[in-house]
Amino acid sequence: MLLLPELYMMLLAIIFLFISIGKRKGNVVACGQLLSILGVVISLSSIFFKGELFYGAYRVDLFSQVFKVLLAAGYCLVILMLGSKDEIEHEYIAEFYMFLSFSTLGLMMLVSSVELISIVLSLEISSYSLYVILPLRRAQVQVQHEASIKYLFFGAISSGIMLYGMGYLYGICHSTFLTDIIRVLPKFLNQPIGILALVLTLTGFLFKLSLFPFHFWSPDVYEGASHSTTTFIATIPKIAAAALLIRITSMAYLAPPVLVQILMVLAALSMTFGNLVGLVQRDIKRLLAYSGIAHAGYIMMGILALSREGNLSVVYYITIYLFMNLACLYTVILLSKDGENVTLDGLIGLSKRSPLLAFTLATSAFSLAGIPPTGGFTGKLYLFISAFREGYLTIVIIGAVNTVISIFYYLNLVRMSYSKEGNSVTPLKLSGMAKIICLIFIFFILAMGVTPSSFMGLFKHMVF
Amino acid sequence: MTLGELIFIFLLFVTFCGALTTVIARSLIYALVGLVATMFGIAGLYIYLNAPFIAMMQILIYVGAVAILIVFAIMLAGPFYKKPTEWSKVTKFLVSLIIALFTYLLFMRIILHSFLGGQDTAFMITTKDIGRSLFDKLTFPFELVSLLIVVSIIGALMLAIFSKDRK
Repeated sequence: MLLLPELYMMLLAIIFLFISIGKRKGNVVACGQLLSILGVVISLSSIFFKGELFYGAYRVDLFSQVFKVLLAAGYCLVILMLGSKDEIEHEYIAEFYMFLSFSTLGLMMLVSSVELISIVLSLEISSYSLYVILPLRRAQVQVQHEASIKYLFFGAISSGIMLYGMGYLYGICHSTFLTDIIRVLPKFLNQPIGILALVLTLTGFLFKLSLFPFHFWSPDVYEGASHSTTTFIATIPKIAAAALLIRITSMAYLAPPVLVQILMVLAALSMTFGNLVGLVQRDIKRLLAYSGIAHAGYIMMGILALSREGNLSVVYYITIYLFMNLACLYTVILLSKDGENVTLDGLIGLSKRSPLLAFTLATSAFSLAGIPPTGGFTGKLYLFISAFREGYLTIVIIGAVNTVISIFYYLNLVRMSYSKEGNSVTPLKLSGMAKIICLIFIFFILAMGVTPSSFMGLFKHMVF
Repeated sequence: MTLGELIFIFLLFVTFCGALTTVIARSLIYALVGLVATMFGIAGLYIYLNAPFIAMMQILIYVGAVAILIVFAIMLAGPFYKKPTEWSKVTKFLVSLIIALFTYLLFMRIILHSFLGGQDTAFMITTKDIGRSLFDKLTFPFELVSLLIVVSIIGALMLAIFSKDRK
């Protein structure tokens, strides 16, 4: 039963498939919520599984299992968040759940795959599902189509580039298994071809993470997709992408400085671009897209350290990123009345309308900006330290400057919701479920900031 | 010059001319014919690379399936006889030329500075090896393909029904 979380996710997809082709739709939302919570429990129960399957193409270890728990938790939270508002076409809600399950299944297989073809195929399973659910947005005319076409094309191009790089990897190593590649690759790392193969292979995951030259899709997709789809795309594929970046760069610990320089330039450009453009955004989802680009740059600081500490800090940061980004997007979901996008002005008077929601937004904004005592601060601290330890002072300074720039627009969210008085103060009623989700977010963001050692204790055993 | 070299140069010529036609042809049908020629040329180059299986797949998939699909798309959408506008400006042409040359030189540099392998025999995989590895070492990706196809079929069906509902 090594594959328990994946099998359960596949079962979920099949259940939703049968609901969607059946006559009676029943209460899909409640069903989905229950089943997804069970999914987290199952992933947690299988966290200490260990083993190899399919001739070593599929490795189940603590690294992959922890990421599977994160993916299952993210999936569960997205489904719980969706339950409160319906901005997806009603007839397609079962299909929507099914494709979310397929996508999570693909990502779960992705973090366990240690063979190039399996990696590509799992990534594609997850992307195809997302391409399909992007247009399912209600009460909008054009934006969602533009978003889905853009996501499809950019996704296809980045997959193509990644396959090209993998072709080189296979060509120089004569094997698609990472265990074989890791033996042969160091001989080629001081040649241009090895670096080219590695960087091109990373492209597919940098696209998912929306790092600078591969970021073009993200603002339009965030803006055009329905809130729940955005929530999924903004968080869960990024977790798996970070996992794969760690897996692939861990093959190149002995790489010459040029690889680090390439990654450093990308990280610096990504941070600076994301934060500068983020300053002028009015639409909150667009703002979060640019913040996502900037955060991809921060995450790269951990990757480019090419060390165990660096990978550890990436895992920590992607975990806190999941919670703080979900919390911020949850505010958007709850604030939007008919599924339309929320602008900064829509936040005015939020603290009067719903104090808990305003506090959730404030916590997540503080965390995204990296202000103590939130988890975002601790995570960034780890990232900066890991890059600093390897002697990359430049990127640390650029990162610190960028953090300061980003504080402006993150705190603008808080300023809008707390200090501006609106004309109409209609209280925003939160359901019991919504309150619990808000409290979960606040708890995790603060807990990861105050007691990082409890999480680090687990993560320390998983990275390589 | 041997016959083999002649055929090789002919294949290169076909591939290059096909690619050029695809990009600059005025009508979509001509562009498609160019694409088919390129695919045939590349299939021939695969044979020179000791990969007959991939050559066959290239012809089956690209010429047999993808080209037909494009024909259908052109047929349903109606032919367009418009001159592509991208090439009409000199500056755009120059910029694309510079980018193409730069990429070419970059790749030449990378390949010339790399020492590939060093083994005496060519790295060759026969159709038999591919068939075997699909059922023993690469079982997992082989099974994953089925899941990928399921996802894409369901997705395509759902999008088709969805767009019909919208009208």
